[in-house]
Amino acid sequence: MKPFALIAALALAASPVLALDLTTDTQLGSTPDEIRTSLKDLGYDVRKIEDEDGKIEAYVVKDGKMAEVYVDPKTGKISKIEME
Amino acid sequence: MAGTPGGREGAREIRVWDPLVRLTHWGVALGVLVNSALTDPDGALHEQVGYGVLALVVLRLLWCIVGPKPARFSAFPPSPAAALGHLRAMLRGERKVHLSHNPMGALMVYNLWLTLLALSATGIMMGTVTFFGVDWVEELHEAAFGWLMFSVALHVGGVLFDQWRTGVPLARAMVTGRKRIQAERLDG
Repeated sequence: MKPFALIAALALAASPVLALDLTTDTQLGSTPDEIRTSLKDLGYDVRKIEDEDGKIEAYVVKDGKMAEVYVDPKTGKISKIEME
Repeated sequence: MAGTPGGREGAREIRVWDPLVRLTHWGVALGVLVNSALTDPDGALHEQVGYGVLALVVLRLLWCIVGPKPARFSAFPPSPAAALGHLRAMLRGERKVHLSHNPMGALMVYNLWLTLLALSATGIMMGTVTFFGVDWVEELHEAAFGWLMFSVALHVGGVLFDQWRTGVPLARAMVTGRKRIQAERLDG
């Protein structure tokens, strides 16, 4: 199972420009608490989580990059990422 | 001047607002309208319009130092005492008019500028790594916006009231730059 993680880690290390290693379809959770925990585990500073038109919106910061991450609580996946 | 509307003989047209004062006034008004009603608060356009408004306010404040006399701080110093005196004179029914901002109008001008500066500062902060997603900054931005809307309503009401009270078409003066004033009412 480890090779994949290793490849992923190498890929990330090789491309430090891509500070946000989140994509739509990344599974984060279906409640604000789960989402906060998932994002923290991925190394994000979670500034705020709130409801936004039926989606859960998280304000995150990592490596000086800011983004608003929208999660669909029905699927637990990211539906939209807005970089600042 | 015979035959002017309302038979305003003895009325003088006096230049008070230079083009920069008028341009910044209506530019800020337009920017506030656009950002309060049309742009997406999370979008890039909202930010750009906000920076535009801030630039106009800063330009106007510099003009308060180097501009023509009626545009300067010295023509309308912020003075609660003068505003109170102005209010009393109004209640006594005096109809003296002022060439620059009248004392109560001056307080409103400073209030509007400070509110716009607070709105800009909190807006800029929301886009920095330090304050991104920090609740109190966003709440302050929204509070400043609420106060701005209240102030604008009061400002427009005050202008309409003073036009009716003194007979000087103030809104027109902010377009043409000239105040039409009955000679006997002039009071600096």
